Amino acid sequence: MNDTKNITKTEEKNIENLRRLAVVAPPVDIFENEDELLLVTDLPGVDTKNLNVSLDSDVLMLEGRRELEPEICRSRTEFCSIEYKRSFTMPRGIDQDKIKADLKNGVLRLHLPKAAELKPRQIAISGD
Amino acid sequence: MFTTWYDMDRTFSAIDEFRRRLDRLFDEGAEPQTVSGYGDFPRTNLYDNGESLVLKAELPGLGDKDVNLALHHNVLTLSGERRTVAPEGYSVHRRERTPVRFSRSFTLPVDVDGTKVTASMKNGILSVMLPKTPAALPKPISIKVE
Repeated sequence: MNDTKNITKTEEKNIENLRRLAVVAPPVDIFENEDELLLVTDLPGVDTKNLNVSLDSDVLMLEGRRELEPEICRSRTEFCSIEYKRSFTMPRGIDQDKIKADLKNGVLRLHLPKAAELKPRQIAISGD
Repeated sequence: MFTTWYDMDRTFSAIDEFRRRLDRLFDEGAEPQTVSGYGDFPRTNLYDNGESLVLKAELPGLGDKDVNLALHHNVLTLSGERRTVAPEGYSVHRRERTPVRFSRSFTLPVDVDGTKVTASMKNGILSVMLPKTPAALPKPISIKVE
């Protein structure tokens, strides 16, 4: 049984067309407030069709690639076609069905809402 | 007191392994993994496509107000600030994207027409098109066959 949930939609990729690219882990910022965890990461040059965010049991995996035309990488190159890949183990208490991802200007923001049990709440005290 | 050949050989192979590892560290072909220091941010590619010079830079999350482009004679300067602000009301668990103030200058190899420069940003990659002046365009040379 396949446990993997795809959070973003990816189209079928032809395996022959995928080149092996250098793989790099993108830098990530992690923030938290009482409702969710927020992951922000830089993926310059990656658009939504080349990005795959998936969840398999408790492991969140991001894979994105960018392909630049060969003429861009010919001379004086500091960046080129590359694959970004990083995975995270989810803490317990995240509502996995409500995870949202949005990619804008090369920055990916992943919203991981906390399940209701984990949110801070007041406990009613019974007694006198 | 007497070192055997075996002991000496082991010492030399340890040094060889160390040298091999250092070579790999400084390997020219390796993809740069991280940005280090102010001189390296942002990563850029400058190339010539025949009619113009094109500069591409990795600037994810930056808008047109955060980046400045200036052309002075033949020097193009790209500067700005990448602010990574924690959103309101959130506490910080991990910070790998550091705020950076950058300024990089490029001496252009050919003359470009300053009035026709255009720049655009897509998916966090800035592209600057610098059309060459007519005098700088490659000219065909005709060959006379005798």
